[in-house]
Amino acid sequence: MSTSVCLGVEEIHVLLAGQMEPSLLSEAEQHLSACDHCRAKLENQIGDSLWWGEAERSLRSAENNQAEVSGNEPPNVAWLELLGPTDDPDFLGRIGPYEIVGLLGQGGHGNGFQEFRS
Amino acid sequence: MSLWPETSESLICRVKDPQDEMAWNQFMAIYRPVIYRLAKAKGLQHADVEDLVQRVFVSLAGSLADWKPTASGPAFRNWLGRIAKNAILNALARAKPDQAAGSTTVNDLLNDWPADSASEEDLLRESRLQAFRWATEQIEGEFNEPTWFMFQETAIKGRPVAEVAGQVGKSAGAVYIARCRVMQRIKEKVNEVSEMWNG
Repeated sequence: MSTSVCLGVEEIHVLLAGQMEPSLLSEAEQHLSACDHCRAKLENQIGDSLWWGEAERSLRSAENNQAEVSGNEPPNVAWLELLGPTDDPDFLGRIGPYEIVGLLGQGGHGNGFQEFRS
Repeated sequence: MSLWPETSESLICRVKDPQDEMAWNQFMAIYRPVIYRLAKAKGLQHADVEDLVQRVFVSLAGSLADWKPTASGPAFRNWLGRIAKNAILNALARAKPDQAAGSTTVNDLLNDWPADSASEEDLLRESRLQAFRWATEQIEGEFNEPTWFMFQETAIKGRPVAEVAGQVGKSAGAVYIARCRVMQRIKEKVNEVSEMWNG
């Protein structure tokens, strides 16, 4: 396969499955860098433009709303240890001047505490 | 802070078939945020939203005991999707924090409620959206870091392919391939659960 030869259906399947041999893969990468036609073929193999539109809208809105759903798991003990003790049984604890009511969300990138400034 | 209704624990034990258990777990992962967002969009306050989410799951929990697989009947996931759709639309339609849900029987849930079509459309749209998010989390571990980075920067953050290629020192073609490989897996994962609400 030279860089000027377009990708066949079988090659596109192998490529999407991540099973292309390294030597062929670098040729495919070079070819796709230049060939709009094959880029379109690759994308269309996954879904039509409606599908891509829905997929990218969904993924991008997720990026903007990471901490919107709260309280679906108990607070991580490690995070609770960061909190100072509080006198009020309705709060989880304190960070500086803030009384912490609950955990808004927790994930790989950090935790959002829901706070109430006393 | 509210947690899952306690019933969900015992429920998982009662879903004996591993395929059914997987359907239930996928359902839990996807529908909770969906109900949450729909209820928020109706203007409910946080505590009332939590209350509504719990009522939906408690009503489903009660219905689950009535699940009896039959040779000619629907698969568990389709059955679950159907009673869930009605339970959610029903709860949202009467979403008033001070109103008790009343006792909902499984027959109530299986009969289609006269929900307005807009709510059903919202539910479908939010479910699809959440399925994409869920699928993306599920498959992240299958890819190495550079591949995931190229996918994330282009497909999620919307950065130009050439710019990302320059940053990671690869060709534009490599970035296209990374993006498409991840998207292909997302599609497969979304398709695993989409029959739940199409059934």
